[in-house]
Amino acid sequence: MKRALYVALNEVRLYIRDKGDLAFGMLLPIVTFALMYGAFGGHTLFEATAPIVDEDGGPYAARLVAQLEAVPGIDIDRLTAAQADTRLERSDLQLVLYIPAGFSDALAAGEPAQLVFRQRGNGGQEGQILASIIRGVAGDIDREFRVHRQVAAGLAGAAVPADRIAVTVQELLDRERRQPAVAVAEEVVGGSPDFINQFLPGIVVMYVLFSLTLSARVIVEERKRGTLERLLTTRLSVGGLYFGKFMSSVFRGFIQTFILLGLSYIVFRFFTPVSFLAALVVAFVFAAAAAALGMIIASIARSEDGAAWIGVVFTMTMVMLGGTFFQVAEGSVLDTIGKISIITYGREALGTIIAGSGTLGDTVFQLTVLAGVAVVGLVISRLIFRAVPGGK
Amino acid sequence: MLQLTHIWLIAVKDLKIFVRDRAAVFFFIVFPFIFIIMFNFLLSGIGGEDERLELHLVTREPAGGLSHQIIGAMTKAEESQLAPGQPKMVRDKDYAEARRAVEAEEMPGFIAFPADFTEKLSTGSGTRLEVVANAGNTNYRAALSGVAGAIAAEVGADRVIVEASIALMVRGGVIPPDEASINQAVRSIMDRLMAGGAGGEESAFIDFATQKVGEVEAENPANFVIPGYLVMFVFFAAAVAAEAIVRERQNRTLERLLATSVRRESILGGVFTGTVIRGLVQIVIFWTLGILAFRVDLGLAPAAVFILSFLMVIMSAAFSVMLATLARTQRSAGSLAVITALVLAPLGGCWWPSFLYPQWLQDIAKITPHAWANDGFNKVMVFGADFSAAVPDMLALAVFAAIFGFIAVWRFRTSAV
Repeated sequence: MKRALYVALNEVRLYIRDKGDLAFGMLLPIVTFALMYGAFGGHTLFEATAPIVDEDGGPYAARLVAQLEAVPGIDIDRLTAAQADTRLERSDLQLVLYIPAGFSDALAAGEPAQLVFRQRGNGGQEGQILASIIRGVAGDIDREFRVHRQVAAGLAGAAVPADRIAVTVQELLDRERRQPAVAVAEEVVGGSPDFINQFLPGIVVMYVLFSLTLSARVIVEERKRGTLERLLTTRLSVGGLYFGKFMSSVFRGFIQTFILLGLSYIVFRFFTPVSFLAALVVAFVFAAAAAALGMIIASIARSEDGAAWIGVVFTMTMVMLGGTFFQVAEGSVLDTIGKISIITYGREALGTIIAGSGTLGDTVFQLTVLAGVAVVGLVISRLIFRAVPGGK
Repeated sequence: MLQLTHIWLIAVKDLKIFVRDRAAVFFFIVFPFIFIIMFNFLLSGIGGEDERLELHLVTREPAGGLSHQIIGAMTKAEESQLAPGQPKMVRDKDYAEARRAVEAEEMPGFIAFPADFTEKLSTGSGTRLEVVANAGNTNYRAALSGVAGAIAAEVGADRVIVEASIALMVRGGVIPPDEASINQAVRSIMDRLMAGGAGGEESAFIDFATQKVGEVEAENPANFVIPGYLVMFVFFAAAVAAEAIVRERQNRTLERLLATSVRRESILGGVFTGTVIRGLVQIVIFWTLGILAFRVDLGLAPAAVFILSFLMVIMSAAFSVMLATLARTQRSAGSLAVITALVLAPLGGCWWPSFLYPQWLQDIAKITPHAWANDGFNKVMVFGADFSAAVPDMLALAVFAAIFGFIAVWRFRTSAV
């Protein structure tokens, strides 16, 4: 036992000194999470591209497009009528705004003008929201004309000069823009899309599994080079050697998770000291399960490259099934298939603790499954583990 | 001629090694399709949502207030009378109940008029509409805010009409400047405005017509999943090949080649050509299976898709040789290959479509060749763009290939020392 521990501690010391391994184990999860957070976290703005066909080309069409472009989150894609028709026909677009020729001339002449939405169905969800924004912007231009007309109509026969009406109306419209009679206040409530709780646990456990399954390559390399065989010439038994390698994997996984969770503790402040300790317990059990699977890979792989491929394919499959990067609907086929992935249990257990609402008691099922994987994995890998190619 | 033969022989040798490595073949050819099948399944039906938006309105004012008239006017139309895509307005009776429903995620949000809406407007002190929305529903919140903004602008326009009319009447001597006359004129103007409809649509200058050209069809997820994984795995396979080049340098195979009549340029060309051929095999398999099994739509410019794929292969091969020249040991080449491939893939939009990213992240992603390749594929295959739209992406990939290639040629060495 003591010798096995020496083997484990030596491996851990080498791991901490290996910058490449550390970069893989620490940097990649941080970069991946930062990317996902940047891409999808705190997404509070509706963003869309408004396809527009401007067949008018006049000043009011230009103003409409410019005002739309100024709406936060809205981009404009100017298309020809032929391009728009083709894309609508192919269902590449769901809604297109056409500004017909004569639009500006009609408005300049004080006559009604028309805008056209060409769309598939209701325009899709994005199209409907875009349409409501376009209606709002067009309504802004429309209101200016209407206010002028209403005021002029109310003063008909009163001998008030038209330019005075225009100046007064414009002054008041400008004031209304600066100090609206009715403001709009948004309040966001409930159902916060808790991005950190949702994705952080999956990313942490994913890279622990990745590191530990890839470390199987080193064991295969040592077996091929005869390093393991040389160790057996000391008083170290095959069992002790095996156990030392297993423990080193567990420690590596645990250290990796400890650092990542510690960083999360500092950055996101979602842990209490107690919940942090609970998370470390989960991390330890998960590391044991992942290390046992890594030992199986080390036992069955014949070459370093083979071990690396098996590790990558196995981990990526587990990640894919474990819902690391997307939410799987409860009770769905994927949810059921995902039960075969240890990522699912690690992610759920860690997520329960990180969410702040759960304790270790709430993760008994997941911890039991992970511990079961560790025990079964250990038994299988010990039975097939060879320190010498084709030998004991 | 002899040099070309050497290049070809080295390339064929690399290809043979790859084909015999069943694990590598599985990882770079079969494995991506497991991902593609999975994501196709997960994302099927996406983009097919087309239910009419249902926007909720509620007022806290007592009956008789202006807000009741506004809500009444907005909710009077039956769904059958609405144009395609025109949102359905629904009146909710109880503010507290509506709020509870939003908090419980039973309803995405609503617009609320305050209890003193009419009073504040009459005294000219200003008021505000409240948009209460669930945090997770950005799209619905945008729709609600759009409608609330339209209501606010409409009420504001009425205020401008009243104030401008009164100011001009008093200044023009149409009415005397006493309170009673002004109040009477205000009432008269308000009556005229109300007769025109609370939304004022009867007298709108800008009208909207809706032309329906068909039904919404769900996007085939393969159209963005397959290009994403093609980009990732073509680059991944090439990057990992750098490890083999470094191994041959370390075990002096390359030096031994030089001892024969093979020149440095031939070795470089052979290594590059071998990686290119392997990449071409990958893209042929990807697109053949994509078209036959996943029915991917190559858009209006299939040639653009193939040119982008080819440039991706050339760029990846150049990157592979560059990485091999920069890495000193086989292990560091392997680590760098995996790290580069796994960081650039999500940043460049291989795991999730980059058009879903916020603009700032899309801008940052442009430092990766992956982002340009995916951008080009998405333009052509998802958004129906023509060939010319993908030209900047092709040029960007060519520039990346040229830079990587230049460094590779400049720094390529056959000796580990």
